[in-house]
Amino acid sequence: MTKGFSVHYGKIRAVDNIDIRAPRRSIGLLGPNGAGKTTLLRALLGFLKPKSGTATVLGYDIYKELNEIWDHVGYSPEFAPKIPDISAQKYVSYIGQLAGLSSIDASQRAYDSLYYVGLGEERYRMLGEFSQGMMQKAKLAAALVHDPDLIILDEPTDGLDPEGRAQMLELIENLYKDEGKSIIVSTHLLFDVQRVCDWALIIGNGRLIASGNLNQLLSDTSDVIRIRVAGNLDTLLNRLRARGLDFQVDDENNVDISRVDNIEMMILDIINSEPSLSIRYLGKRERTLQDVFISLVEGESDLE
Amino acid sequence: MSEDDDAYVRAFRFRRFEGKRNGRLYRVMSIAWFNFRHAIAKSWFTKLILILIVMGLLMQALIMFISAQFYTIYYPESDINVLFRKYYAESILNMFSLINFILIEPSFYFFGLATMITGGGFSYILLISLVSGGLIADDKLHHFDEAYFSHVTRWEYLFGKLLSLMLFSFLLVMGPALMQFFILSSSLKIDFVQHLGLLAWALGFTFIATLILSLLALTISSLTTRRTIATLIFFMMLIMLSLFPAIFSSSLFQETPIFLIDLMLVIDMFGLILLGESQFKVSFRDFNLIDGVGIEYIDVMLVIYIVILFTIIVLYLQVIRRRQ
Repeated sequence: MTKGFSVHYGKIRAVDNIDIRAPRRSIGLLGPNGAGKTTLLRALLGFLKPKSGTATVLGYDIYKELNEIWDHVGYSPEFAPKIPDISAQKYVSYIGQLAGLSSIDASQRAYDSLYYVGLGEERYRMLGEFSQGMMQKAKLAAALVHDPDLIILDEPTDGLDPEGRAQMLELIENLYKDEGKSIIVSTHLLFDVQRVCDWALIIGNGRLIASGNLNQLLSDTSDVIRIRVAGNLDTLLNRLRARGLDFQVDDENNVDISRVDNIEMMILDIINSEPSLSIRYLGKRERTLQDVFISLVEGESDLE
Repeated sequence: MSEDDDAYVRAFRFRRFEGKRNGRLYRVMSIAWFNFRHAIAKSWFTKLILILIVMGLLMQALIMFISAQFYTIYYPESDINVLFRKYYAESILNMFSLINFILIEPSFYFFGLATMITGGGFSYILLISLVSGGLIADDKLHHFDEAYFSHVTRWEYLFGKLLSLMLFSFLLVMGPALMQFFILSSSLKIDFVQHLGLLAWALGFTFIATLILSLLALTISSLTTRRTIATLIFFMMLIMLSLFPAIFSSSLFQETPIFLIDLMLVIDMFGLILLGESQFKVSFRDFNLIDGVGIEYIDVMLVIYIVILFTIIVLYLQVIRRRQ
């Protein structure tokens, strides 16, 4: 939770007067590159000194209880700590010791964590030999080693191939759903958030643009009914025109019709009277996160 | 790995940690121990230097032992306790000498030379340069600092790094200082209990000296992201600062203020002040810190103060201060 939270780099307002209230769930921190996501996370973890405002993480004050935050939060930074001549086991174990685990506990849990992320067999390989995908997993293992309640992942799928990305997203999903961890995924990849998160914080130019339950964000509040049919689409469109209905067709042949009285009955009537048409979907228009983004963040082209 | 070893991971997925977390001091010690071990393990050259230093220390101990057997031949008139005190102090001071070495009493030159030929100061500085160069620079280069700062404070990080260098210093300077005390006292067959104050001086001085050098090494490492640059700057700087006064001093036999730029010599002079000595020789030149001419004890203290202040300010700006 933050209130009036600002972080400045000189005169640049990287995070500008943000008020956030986020539940302990799987949260997607979304925004284009340079939006202030990483700066916000770094400030919440105490790496950067905020200019103003208050903030708590898991109920701990970032000004007074940083040690508690560090003990209860696992952080996987954006940049991989590429120490070439250290094994994954030693790296994760060392992070465990930094979190206060005894050397025996740290070593044991490093093994657990590396096994959990799928690097059990690779744990004695040097980090310098790791691919980007393996390094992302090693970072996740390091974030997990001290069994945190909240795991913060900064661009966890950055640079991964499709298979690696799917594996990473599955791991994150498992951590949330099976292990009960709270998650914050900071990314500019909309798909990642849609896949593993159920809450979103959308940031642009250092400001909070939107936040809320992902389902609510994705639901369309406009008065539009969407229909998708099998059969001759032109026939449907001609019938709609004939009834004086206002509609639009998108690239995937979804037909969005402006709502009028009894619109659902009218559409069913049209479909039933035309044997060449069968209905595939009739209901509210579904929006993707990208639609939400486009409507909220204009001109931010690096969102994928 | 057998199947039994990882059965619980497969069966229970991720285990909750139910143990006890250690306190902040443990984390500082973890940083120190990890960096200490990593610095030795990562470079064959560092290992080689370590072996050479240990061999040098053993040789020094041997020379000490043998020369002590013949002290009555060389110094028949000397008080054995005075001899012990001077020789031991010289030996400790010259652990930090590079080019300009210290002789407290000219007549004990033979013993002083025995200490110097092992090149203790040179090897120590070379090793500290090698292991300190990457201590902070590597973390910045490899983005390892964020991993640290998500678990420990910047002070803890800095103390951990400093402690890792101090572990080397304990191994290579304070440990041998302790060892030499007992070798020399037993070789000269004197009661070491009478000289425990001298031992306290030796341990205190070596601690302060290595602390100053470790702070300076860390400071240089914090100013770059390239370990090689940090290593070279620290090593070359100390060598050059030691070499210049020896070359450019206007007198071959008298003290000149230019010797104040030799940090290692200044540290030695600081040690002499702590010991209560004010007259000594530096590479055949007569020095007197209380005669009102040339270098005075206040100048030595001022240089030490400036160096410490400089390191603290730079480390604060580079490591401690969080960006706003």
